[in-house]
Amino acid sequence: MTKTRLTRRALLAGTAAAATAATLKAPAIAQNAPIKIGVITDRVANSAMWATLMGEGVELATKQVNDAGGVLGRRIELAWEDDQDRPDVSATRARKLIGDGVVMILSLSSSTAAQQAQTATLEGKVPHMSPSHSADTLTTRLNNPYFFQMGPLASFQIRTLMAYAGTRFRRVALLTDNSALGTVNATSFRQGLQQGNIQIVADETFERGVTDVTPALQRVRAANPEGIFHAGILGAEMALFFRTYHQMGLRQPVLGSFNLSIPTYLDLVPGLLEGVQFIDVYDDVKPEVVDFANRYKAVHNKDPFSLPAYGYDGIMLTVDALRRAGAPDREKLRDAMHATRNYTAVIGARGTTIGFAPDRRIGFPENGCVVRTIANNKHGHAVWRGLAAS
Amino acid sequence: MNAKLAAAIGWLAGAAILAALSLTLTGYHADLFRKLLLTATLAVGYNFQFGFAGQIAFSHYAFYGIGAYAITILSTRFGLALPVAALATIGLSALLALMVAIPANRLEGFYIALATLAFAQLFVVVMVQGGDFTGGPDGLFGFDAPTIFGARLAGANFMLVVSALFLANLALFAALGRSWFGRACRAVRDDPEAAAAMGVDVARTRIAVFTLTSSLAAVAGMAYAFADNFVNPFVFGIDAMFVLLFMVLIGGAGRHAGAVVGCVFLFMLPEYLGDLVGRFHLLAYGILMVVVMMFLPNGIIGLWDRLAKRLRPEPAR
Repeated sequence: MTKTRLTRRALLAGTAAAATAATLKAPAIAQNAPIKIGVITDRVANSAMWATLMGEGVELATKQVNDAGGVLGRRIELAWEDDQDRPDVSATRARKLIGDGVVMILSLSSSTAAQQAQTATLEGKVPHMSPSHSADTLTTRLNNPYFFQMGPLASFQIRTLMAYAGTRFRRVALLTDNSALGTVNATSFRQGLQQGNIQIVADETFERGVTDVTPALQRVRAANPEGIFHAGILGAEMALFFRTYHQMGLRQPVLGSFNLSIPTYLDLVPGLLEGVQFIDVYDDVKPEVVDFANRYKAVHNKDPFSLPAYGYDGIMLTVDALRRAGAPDREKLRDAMHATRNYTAVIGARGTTIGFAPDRRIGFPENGCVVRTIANNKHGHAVWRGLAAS
Repeated sequence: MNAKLAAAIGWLAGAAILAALSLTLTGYHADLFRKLLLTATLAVGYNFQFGFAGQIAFSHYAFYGIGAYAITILSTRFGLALPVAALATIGLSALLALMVAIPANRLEGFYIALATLAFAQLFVVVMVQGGDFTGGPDGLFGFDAPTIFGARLAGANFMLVVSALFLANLALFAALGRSWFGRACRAVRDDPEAAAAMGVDVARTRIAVFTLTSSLAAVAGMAYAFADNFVNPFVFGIDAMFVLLFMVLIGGAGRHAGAVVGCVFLFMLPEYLGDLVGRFHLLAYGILMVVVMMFLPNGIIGLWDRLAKRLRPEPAR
C-alpha cells in the first residue's frame, strides 16, 4: 500500500481548492435560496375573520408559482407573522420580517395596523402592500414610497353604491360599528353621501360587544329613511343588526360595503340577508375569476369569493413585479411595483385593471367595483358594474 | 457587604446593562426592547397603584394615551418646543387625573373600577371621533422624532431615554414604597378605617396615588409617541389595560420586581408562542395565565421567594 505524505504544499493547495470550491458554490446556493415574502396576518383578533381567508389565497398563489418553477429561478417562501390586530405590534412584526430578509410585506390584518407597520417599512425601505384595505388615508397621510394599496378605497365603494342607487334615495340611514375600519368606512360613506346631497337622517354606531341594537334601530325607523347604508365590519354586531332588523319588521333596503362579501355572514344569520346589496370586487364571469375559482375549488372543495382573491392577487402581483424587476432586490421591486400598469387581476370588474399611476400608490381602479345581491342565502352574480361599463 | 453599597452596585449594573442593550440592539430587537421597557414602566406604576395602594383602576392605559396624544398635538399642532410641550402634558395629565380621582374617591372598590373603566372607554371614543385634531381612527403620525440639545431622539438615543425613564420610575416607586407614604398606601389598602384611626388621611392618600401614577403613565406615553412616531387610539384600549393588570398579578402584586418580571413574561410570551402553537397562541397564553394564577398566588416572584427560602441556610440556633 502506498503511503501518501501530506506536505505543506499539498495542504496549501487543498485549502486553496476547497476555498475556491466554496466561493464558486456560494453564489449558486444563494441564487437558489427562496425569495422570502412576509405576511402580517391576524390569527386571533377582530381582523382574523377576513385575514385568515385572505391567507388561503396567499398560500394558493404561492403554491401555484412554486409548482410552475418559482420566479427568477427561485421558490417563494412565505414568512408569517401575527400582529393580533394591534397597530404597535404590527410595526414590530414588520421590523422582524425586514430583519429576516423579506423582499415584500403583505399586510392582511386591519388598515390601522397596516398604517403603523408603514413606519417600519418606510424606515427599512421595504416594499409593502395592502391587498384589500379600503381606508382612503393609507397612502395619503404618510409619504411612504414603499407602500402600495391594491384594494378598493371606501370612497370608491360609496361612489359605486350611489351610482347604483341613482336617484332612488334622498334620505338614508348610515350605520357602522366602532371598529377602526368601520369608523373609517363610515367617514368615507358620510362624505360621499353628503357630496351627493343625500340626507343622512339617522347616523348610528354600534359599540363592539353590543348585545341589543333595538334602540338604535328604533331611531332609524323613526327617522323613516328610504335606505340603510351599512359601513360596519364586526361580525357579531352585523349579525345582531340583521336579526333585529327582521324582528322589527324593517323594510328599507340594506346596502353594504365590501365587508358583506364575506360569506361568513350567510352562516351566522342564514336567510336574514335576502335582498341585501353589497359592494364587491369579485366579478364571477371574468375569465381570471373562473380560473381562480377552479384552482381554489380543487384545493378547498368550496366556492371561493373575494377575500381569498385579494390574497391571491397580492402574491401574483408581487411575482409579476419581481419578474419585471429581474432580481429580488427591494429597490428594484419597489420600482417595478410602481411601474405596474394594466395588470389584469382576479379582483376588479370585468374589463378593469390594476395599475399605479406615477403620482399614486393606489392600484384599484375607481370603476372596479361591482354590486351583488344576496338571494337564496348565496351571493348572486354581479347585478351592476355601471362605473366599469361607463 | 454593606446593603446600601450592594443596592447601589445593583442599580449601576442594571443601568449599564440597559445602556449596553440600548447602544447595541437594532431593528426588530431594538423595537421589542423599547416597547418592552415602556410597558414595564407602566407596569411598575400600575403595581404601585394596584399592588401597594389597592386601587383597582382601569384608566392607566388611557393616561398613557393622554400623554402620547398631548405631546404629539402640543408639539406638532401648536408648535410648542418639546420641553414646554412635555411640561404642559404633565400638567394636563395631572389635572385630568385629579378630575377623575376626586369624584372617584367617593366610590369604593368595584365602583372605582367601573368609573375608571368608563373614563378609559371615553378616552378612546373621543380620540376616534376627534376628527383632524386627533387624527380620528387613523391617529396621528408622520411627525419627526424630536431633537433635544442637538441630539435626535431616535435609535439608540431614544432607547437610552426610555431606559432612563424606566429606571427613574422604578427608583421612585421603590423609594416611595419604603417611605411613610408607601406604608400609608399599604395601610389604606389593607384597612382604610384602621389607617384613618392611625392618622392617615385616606382620601388624600388615594388621590395622591392616583394622580402620581396616572401622571407618570402619561410621561411614559410621551415617550411612546416617539417609539414609532405614531399614535393610534386603539393601542390604548381596554384590552391592553387588562393585559397590564395580568402582568402585575402574574408577576406578583405589591412587588416592584414582580411587576417587571410579570411584564417581561407576558410581553415576550406571544413572541415565542406564536411560532410554537400558531393561531392557538392566545389560548395557550390564557391557559398559562390561569395556571400561574391558580398555583402561584403570589405570582412568579412568590415562587422565587420560596426557592430562595429553601436555598438559604438555616440560621444557627
